[in-house]
Amino acid sequence: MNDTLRRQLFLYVEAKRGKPDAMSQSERDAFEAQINESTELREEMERIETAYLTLSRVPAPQPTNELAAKCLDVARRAPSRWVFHAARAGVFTVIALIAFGAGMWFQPGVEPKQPFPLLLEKQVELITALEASIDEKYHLASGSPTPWSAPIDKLKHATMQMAAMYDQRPNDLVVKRGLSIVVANNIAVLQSLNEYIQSSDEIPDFDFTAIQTAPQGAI
Amino acid sequence: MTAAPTLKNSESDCLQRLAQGDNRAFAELVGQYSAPVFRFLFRMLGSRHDAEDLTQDVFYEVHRNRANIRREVSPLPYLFTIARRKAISKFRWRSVRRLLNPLTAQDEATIAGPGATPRESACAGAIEQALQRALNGLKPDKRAVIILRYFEERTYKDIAEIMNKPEGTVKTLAFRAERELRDRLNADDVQDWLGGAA
Repeated sequence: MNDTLRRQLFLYVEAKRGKPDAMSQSERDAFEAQINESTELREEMERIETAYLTLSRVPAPQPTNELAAKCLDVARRAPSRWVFHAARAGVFTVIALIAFGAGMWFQPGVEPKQPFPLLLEKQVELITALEASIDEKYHLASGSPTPWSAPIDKLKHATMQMAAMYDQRPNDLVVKRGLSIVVANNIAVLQSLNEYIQSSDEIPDFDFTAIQTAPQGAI
Repeated sequence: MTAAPTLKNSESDCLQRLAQGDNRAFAELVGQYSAPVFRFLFRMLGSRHDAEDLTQDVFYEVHRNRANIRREVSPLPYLFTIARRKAISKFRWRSVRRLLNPLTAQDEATIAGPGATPRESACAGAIEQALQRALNGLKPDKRAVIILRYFEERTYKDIAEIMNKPEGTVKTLAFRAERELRDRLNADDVQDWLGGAA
């Protein structure tokens, strides 16, 4: 039996079970003659009907009683339009300040061409971009708490700790290589996160399990 | 199987009144449609928690974009369109998470509703879990078409609008999805349920 015939049979069963939009009455009448002549078609029809019957007996999942109230509450808490514009302006200001601050932070004592400082700088850039994207998705000014705020703060703190550790022992190869591996991994994860967030309209779930925020543990 | 809500004038007016700034219309919309949106998302995602979260997101988005609601749009196809988009986005995010953390356990579906007897719960759980496993194996488009056609009883015209595909393509997708779902459902289990239910 070819797929065209199977498709017709499937639509025929649907129409027979009270879904007239699947197949017109004239098509149905014409196909009925074919079914009467073919055992194979009748057997396949029984299988489709059995599946139909099975699915019709599966109970529908019920939402909790609070769901409707939660939906109303979420909308009620939505920021108004001017708050959104103000928040957006705030986000851009904060991004500029963070970028400026990060630039200042890396100025002293950083030797150009050193892989670790460059990696760390990249990590800071990505954290800043992530924070800005998250704030924008939530339509909040930077600094307003979101589920991502605490982990991002932790990551910033860990980044500063890594920089301090590197500053204290700049010639220690174990420190340098261990930290570089950690930061390289974080960069890969942050890049994936940023790409996902930028390509999506959604507010993503928080998940930082793959990001190393305890630099000492990696060495 | 869940009966499709009939589209009365007052229901289709709901969105229009919301677009005009009537907040009571939003409450009506939530009251009438939060359950079907939840059911759709639950079966798409296989997780009660995710389904409840995304249901709230769907209504948040409707409220946020209320000024841009088109005049001719019907509530349920409009809500399912947003819900489907959010579910697909969730799948993408899940795949990113799996990439970041391969050991993340898959969400468990919790099916039986409040008030079900233990026997009903156990039976419903077994059937529903097998179905959910089979649904989870389908690609998102096939999953969506099965849910909308079989469980939400939408017409092919509605489904085509929700999925932004031609009606003929949706019919073919439904036919292929049904076959794949049937293959995925364990034949012995199906016979047991039907025997037990008879």
